[in-house]
Amino acid sequence: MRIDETKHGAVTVLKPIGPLGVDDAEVFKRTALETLGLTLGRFVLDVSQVPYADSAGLEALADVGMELSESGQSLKLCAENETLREILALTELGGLFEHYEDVGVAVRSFL
Amino acid sequence: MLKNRSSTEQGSRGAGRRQSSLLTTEIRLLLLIGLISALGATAWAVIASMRLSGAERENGLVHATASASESLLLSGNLSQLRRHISTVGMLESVESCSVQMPDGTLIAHSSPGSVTLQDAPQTWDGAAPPESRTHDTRAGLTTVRVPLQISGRGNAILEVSLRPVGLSATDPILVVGEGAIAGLAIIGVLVVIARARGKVRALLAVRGALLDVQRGERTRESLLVDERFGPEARAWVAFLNEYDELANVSAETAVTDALESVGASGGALGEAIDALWQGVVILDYRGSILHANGAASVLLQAKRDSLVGSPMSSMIKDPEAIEAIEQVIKGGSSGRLVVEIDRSSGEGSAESGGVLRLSLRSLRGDDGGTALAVIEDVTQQRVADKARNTFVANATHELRTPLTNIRLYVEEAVDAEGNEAVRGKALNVINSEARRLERIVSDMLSVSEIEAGSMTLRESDVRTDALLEELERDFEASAQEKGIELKFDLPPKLPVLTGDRDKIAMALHNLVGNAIKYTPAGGVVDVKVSDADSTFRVEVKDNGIGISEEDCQRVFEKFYRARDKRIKHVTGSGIGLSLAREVVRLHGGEIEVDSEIDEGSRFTLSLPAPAQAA
Repeated sequence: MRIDETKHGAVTVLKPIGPLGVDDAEVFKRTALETLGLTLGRFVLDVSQVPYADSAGLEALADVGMELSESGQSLKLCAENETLREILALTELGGLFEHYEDVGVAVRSFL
Repeated sequence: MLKNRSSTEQGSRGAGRRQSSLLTTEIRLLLLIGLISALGATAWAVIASMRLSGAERENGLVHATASASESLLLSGNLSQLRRHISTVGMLESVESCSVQMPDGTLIAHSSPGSVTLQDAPQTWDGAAPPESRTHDTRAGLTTVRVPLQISGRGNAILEVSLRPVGLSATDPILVVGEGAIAGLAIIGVLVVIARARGKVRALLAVRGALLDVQRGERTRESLLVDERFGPEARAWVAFLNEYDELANVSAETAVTDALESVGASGGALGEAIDALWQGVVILDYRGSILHANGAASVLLQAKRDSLVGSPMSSMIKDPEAIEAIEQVIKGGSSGRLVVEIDRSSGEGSAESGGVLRLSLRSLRGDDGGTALAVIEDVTQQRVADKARNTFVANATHELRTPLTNIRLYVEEAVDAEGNEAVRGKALNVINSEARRLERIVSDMLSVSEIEAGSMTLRESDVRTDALLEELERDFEASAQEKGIELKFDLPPKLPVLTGDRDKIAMALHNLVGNAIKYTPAGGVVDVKVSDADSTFRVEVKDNGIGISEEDCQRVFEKFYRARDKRIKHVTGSGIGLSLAREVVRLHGGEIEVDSEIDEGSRFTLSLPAPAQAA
């Protein structure tokens, strides 16, 4: 899995490219947690290029979300497609994240 | 509790040691003085008694001699009398001894050659003077004259001159000795007085402080005494310091216990503190961390467990913040102190630690003792502020340039009355600059719409062929003026898109305008359009100055301008590419950049196209 990293001001946008499955969950989680430490939680996850996530992928997302929640923050997801939105709703994990339509709005939430 | 009990025991032993030290010092001195005084008094008494017994002995000797002389004179035994007087004269204490008639003739003398009357008559006349005692201080002699009454014969006089034996009251040794003893006693008394005065002053000061405490005074400054008063004063000050320390430890323990109970019970307060996205840190009177929530551990970039007990100064390392913390803890600030800590990399990039806002407040009234620190990450606000300021500066410059041109060419048009060629050229420039101004203002308005999240698309059919023709027309003149070759490579058929024509045109204008701006004279700007796989693609390629890899990551950021010295003189607001990207994104497309320094750049704009071209 390729994970693009861009900066919008002081906010880092992580953009995983491809499905979030068992093969990539660990790498994704490690990258996200490293970014959390470096940016003090000032980052956004652009999942516009993630068509779906399996249980391992959801677990990785949940782990990152839980880590952020211990510091009073939430993992900001943006540009989810319909499939991902439904998966998160069915697994009742949706409440663990903040959801934004697009990267710009998600980045502005740090102001 | 254990600490208090052992302290009490130690305190009792300490009090005993203090008492014994008092006895040892002052009382010893008094005892010594008393002993010296007693010795002196004893010596004086001994000497006095010696003088007294001496006097009594002298009196006894004189009267015994008188009695014996009366008896011998009565019996007429003058030779016996003379022997007796001579024997008395040989005593150590007797200087001379004599018996004489009332007319002064000597009957007997301790110096036999001094006798002037060999035989005494049977009777004689003359009265004897009463007993008298004469002291010759120069010779040191005492002369005693005793009347003798010889019954039936007459009166006589016994005269005995006595010498002092042993010490006298005027003996120099005795005087010096008594003086020394008195001097020592006086010195000892003065020393005791001096020491006592110092102690009394210290004790009075401490007594005053204790009475103040009883009256309710609790501030340290009011209870302090001058340590120069002595060890008692120093001990009091040390006690105050220790009391302060104990009070602070007590407060710290109370806070810790309260926090632990909140945490242990999982109460709403503990959860609420942990749910905050601001870091909450409670500091003790030493500036060490008593409690930190999860957000604080993230913002301070340390594990939560390692934070507790660590000095806050080791976490933030900012001198101004450390000073503010000390001020709050010492009670030097009654309100809230706010400090910003910039932990960016120094290149203004807001990397890593970012910018933290630290709000500090004392938690123990104005006496200080503990403090609350709230930490907020304001990095993004600072970056936005900086970018906005930069944008305003650049945009102002961007607006001023066309306005200046418009003004200049209006003046030229007015002055060129009758000269249609000049007037025509001036009007063309005014028209071009006005449109440029319009685009800049439109860009700024678009930025506001993006900021507010209110940018929308006015969708309609967009004829891409007309759009591209207009694009070529708009930039032909400026490219020619700069000596740049502008090429348009278009397919035979161009699609009709569904979208916002003006915004798509704005995006393309920005790409082509940048290519021309950053390509030197003699360069080439190539606009290649393709329509395949349901994607309308416009590739704008130049052989200009190029963009570094680092800047490529950021060129689409709002207000960002590449950090390249070569473009310092090139004006730009830094919002063009950001707008282009936003527009393309709104249309469901994307925009990419590929560039190399000194080789040029290639910007590719892709928009979804319908299956069939118009």
